[in-house]
Amino acid sequence: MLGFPRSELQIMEVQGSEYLPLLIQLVFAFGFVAMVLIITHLIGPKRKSAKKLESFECGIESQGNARLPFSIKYFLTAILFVLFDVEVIFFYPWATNFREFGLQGFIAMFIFVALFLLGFLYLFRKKAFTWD
Amino acid sequence: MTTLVLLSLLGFLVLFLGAFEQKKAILPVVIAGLSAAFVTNALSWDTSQTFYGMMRYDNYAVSFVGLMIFSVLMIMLLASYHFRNEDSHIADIYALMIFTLVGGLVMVSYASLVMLFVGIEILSIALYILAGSRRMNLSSNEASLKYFLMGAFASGFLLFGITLMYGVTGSFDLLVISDYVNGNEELPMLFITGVLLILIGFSFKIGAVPFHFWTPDVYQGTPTLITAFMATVVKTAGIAAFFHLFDICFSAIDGVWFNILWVIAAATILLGNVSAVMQNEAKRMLAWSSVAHAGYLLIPVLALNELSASAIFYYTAAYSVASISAFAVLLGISQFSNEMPVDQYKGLAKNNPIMTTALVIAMFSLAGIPPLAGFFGKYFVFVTAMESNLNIAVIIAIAGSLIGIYYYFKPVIFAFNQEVPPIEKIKGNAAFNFVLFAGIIISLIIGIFPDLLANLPGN
Amino acid sequence: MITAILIAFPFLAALLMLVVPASKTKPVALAATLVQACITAWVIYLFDIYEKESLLANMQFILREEWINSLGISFFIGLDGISLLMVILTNFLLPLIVLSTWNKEIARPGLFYFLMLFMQSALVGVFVSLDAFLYYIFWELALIPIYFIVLLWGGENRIKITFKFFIYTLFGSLLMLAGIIWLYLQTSDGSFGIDSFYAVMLDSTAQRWIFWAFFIAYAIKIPLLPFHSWQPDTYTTAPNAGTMLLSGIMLKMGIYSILRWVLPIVPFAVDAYTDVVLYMAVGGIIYASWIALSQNDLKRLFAWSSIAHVGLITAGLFTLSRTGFQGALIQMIAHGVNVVGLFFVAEVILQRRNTSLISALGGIRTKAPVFASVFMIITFASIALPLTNGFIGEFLLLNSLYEYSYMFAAFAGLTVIFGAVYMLRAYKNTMLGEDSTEGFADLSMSEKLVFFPIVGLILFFGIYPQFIFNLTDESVKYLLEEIANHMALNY
Repeated sequence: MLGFPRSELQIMEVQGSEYLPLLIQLVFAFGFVAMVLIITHLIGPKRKSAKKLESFECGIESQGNARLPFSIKYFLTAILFVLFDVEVIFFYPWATNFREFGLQGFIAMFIFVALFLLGFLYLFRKKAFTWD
Repeated sequence: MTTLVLLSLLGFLVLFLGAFEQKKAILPVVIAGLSAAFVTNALSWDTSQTFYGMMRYDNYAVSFVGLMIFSVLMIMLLASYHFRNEDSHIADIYALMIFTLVGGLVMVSYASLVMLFVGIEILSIALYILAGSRRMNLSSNEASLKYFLMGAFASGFLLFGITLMYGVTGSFDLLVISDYVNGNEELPMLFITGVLLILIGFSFKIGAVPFHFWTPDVYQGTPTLITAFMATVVKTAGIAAFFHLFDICFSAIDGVWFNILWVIAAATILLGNVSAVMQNEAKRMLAWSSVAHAGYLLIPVLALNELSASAIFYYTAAYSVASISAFAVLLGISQFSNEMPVDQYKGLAKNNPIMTTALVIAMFSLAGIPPLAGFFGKYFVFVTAMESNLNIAVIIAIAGSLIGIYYYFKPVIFAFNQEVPPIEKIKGNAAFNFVLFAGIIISLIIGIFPDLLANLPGN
Repeated sequence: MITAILIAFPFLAALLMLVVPASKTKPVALAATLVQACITAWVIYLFDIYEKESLLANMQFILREEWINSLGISFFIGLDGISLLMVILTNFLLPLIVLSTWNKEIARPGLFYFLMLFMQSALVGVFVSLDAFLYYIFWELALIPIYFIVLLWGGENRIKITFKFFIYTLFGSLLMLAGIIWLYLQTSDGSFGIDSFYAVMLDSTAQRWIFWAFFIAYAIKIPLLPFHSWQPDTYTTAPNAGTMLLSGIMLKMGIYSILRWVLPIVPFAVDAYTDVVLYMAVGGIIYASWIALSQNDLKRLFAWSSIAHVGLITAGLFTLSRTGFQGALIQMIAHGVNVVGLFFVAEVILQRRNTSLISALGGIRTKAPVFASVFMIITFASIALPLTNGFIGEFLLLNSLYEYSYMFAAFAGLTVIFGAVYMLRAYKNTMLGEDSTEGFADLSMSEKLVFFPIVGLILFFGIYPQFIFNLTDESVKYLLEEIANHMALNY
């Protein structure tokens, strides 16, 4: 006795046709990628020799593993760049509709930018931009 | 809404106080800010505003937000004790906690599935960082990563469910979805899949069996203070959001989810309690106990009647207060260590009467011994369940409580052990003692006068 | 109001214990229990046994304050003859129990007496509650202090044993809670008040469920046969004062509760299960007596004999007759007094000889004649010799059983024979015979002050049981009527 469900439910069959366009798009997307990969592989010229397969580094023979640890600072800078870069994207739709938004839109964007600056200031104080 | 803005600004302010090295000002600002937020929140009582169809700040939200602000305040005070000798990153930790609270606020007041998702993400992302806040500690890193991966999974499920829901109804609005559910005799398969995916997503978030496996590791690896935070604020927000959605949208189609949730709740109660019995590690034990409590909290969701909201609210309140006390004592004894065998409570009673009292009250409250708050929490859950004829679920919950006695009493017994060298006097500062006192007094007061909280969230 | 004082006074005294300096706790605790006994005496004086129009016949000093409105829970207390009798038992035994610890070194005395007085408050609460929920709270509250008393001051293996004890009793309590909630949902006015509960009319299936939900809780507390396994261990390991509280007063909670919360609410189920309960009770009598015969430890012997006695009391209750009820009430008082006496005998011996093994004792009478005489009187009372308090109760109980079915009476009657055998044998082996060891000091002043009132009570109730009859007769008649009415409506 698990209690009494308050409603009995009939599950309706979904008609497949509604989703046909989606399926076609999927097939095209995957198909295109697969096709490009396969065709370039087939039609490109191939020459396999020891020199060809070696990694090229300014003509000097390569030494050791390519996967070296590098300073986390690069990573930090990169991620901060991406962060601000992504946020800047919001400016484009805003700019195209600037007139319709009027003053309210201006204030909203002002707050948005202010928050940016605050973030920037915070990073600055936290010494995220100093290299050593 | 004022509360939301106030809390967000408070978060920023604290960040900058940290960045500009104003360490002394942080704690007063946090306490003042949270108190102000508590007041503005209380002032929104009975006003019930809706913001652009995205958030609805009604009494349900006000009561849960009040509870969460209170819990955060207590944890902040603990933090000021915990980090008394360490000054790095404390402002960041405070700020992240406040941002988590903001996420929690959104999670209990959403009127649109988009806001639900946004709320969960605000809460979760801050938590991932908090879980890893002891950078040099391996287990803290492990916990953070595990929590992140599991959380991402859960968010994925939830988001997929929300998408399907949107696909079928064409709206994120809870009321539109609710109308759709009530207006259609037959629901498409996609919609039902959506309901189940959302169910799974939430089960992940609150750590219900069988989506609980991350809980013990994460709870143990995370710094104790943050564990207290996860066990109280996050669980409160999660279950409140869970109930909110099911109450508004899916109550008419309980045929779809009832049996699944029933099994989840029963399994959570039993497995949580049984596993907690087998732990020798205090923190891990509390982690499993929090799994078990998630199970009890699912019963009102299952019953879904006019008593459910009050039952959930009271239960989370009682559970939060007791948990914070329990974690405070744990923090006092273990300090920065992540591992503390239960027998380290040995001899606590000899030199630390306040901590012992707090421990006893907290454990008894969690175990559900009257007249403490935890008892009434269980009581409300039982009444709610019996109102909907869930008698078997009540019996399982009773069995769970019995098993619970075993592990909740273990620390108490150790604390009174007289045959060992007692724990030296632990010097707590004023904030620490205040938290312990508050835990004792509140557990007693809301236990003796449950009417104070019982009807807050309304229907 | 005075009922509330009966609950509040020990509670406040308990809080006082936490601040009194350690050396002063004993006298202060004793004074507090004596004051409480005086208040009780005052209540007896005020109590009007001829009142019969009030709630549940002669319920008096009723206090009903709203407590948790939204759930229909009120602070609803009052005293009728039966509850007053239980309050008398509690409050008159407590000074004796406190006095019994007079010579004993107790670690952390403040906490110890705090727990004892706290427990007294909760016990009185159980006996006077007229709101099912309030009753449940007090029922649970009574469990916590005794748990700590056994845990902190108990003997060997106490951790395991207290766990067993706690889990057992809590299991029962939670079942009872489920039953209470269910009944509450059936009441017409959404109240936990006893009047609303008595007014609930249930069909026979529901009655059966509710019956077991309540009865298992009480069967564990009393304890009846299949639920008894916590009892001998707990009684043995508990410090003596704890054992006295448990056996003298606490198990009466179960019997009292059957009378108050089971019989009038689910009489149909009671009727249907009378035989089952009688088998449990009478089986328990024989089983416990049999085991008592082969016990070598005084405390264990008394523990098992206690199971036999309470089995008989329960059996009497379930005959649903006036003789049975009256017998049960008298025997509850008698058993309470006697068992406290017996366990104190064990304590006195334990303190002087460091053992309570019968085989290690002997010839105490020659060294301690007063002690031996006192033990003799208590032994006689516990095997129900005429002129002692045990006689009337046992006689009435067996009589009521005989009227129900002579087979049960015949088997239950064995308790008298068995009881005489093991009690007298224990007496003989400890008090008479060759003196095996050196000196055994006779009773000290404080010990006399415990034993003499007990002997007094044994003789008083043995000669004048009319006191209990008068006090409880109205309530018993009312209960029987209520049960009869219910039965008539149900069929």
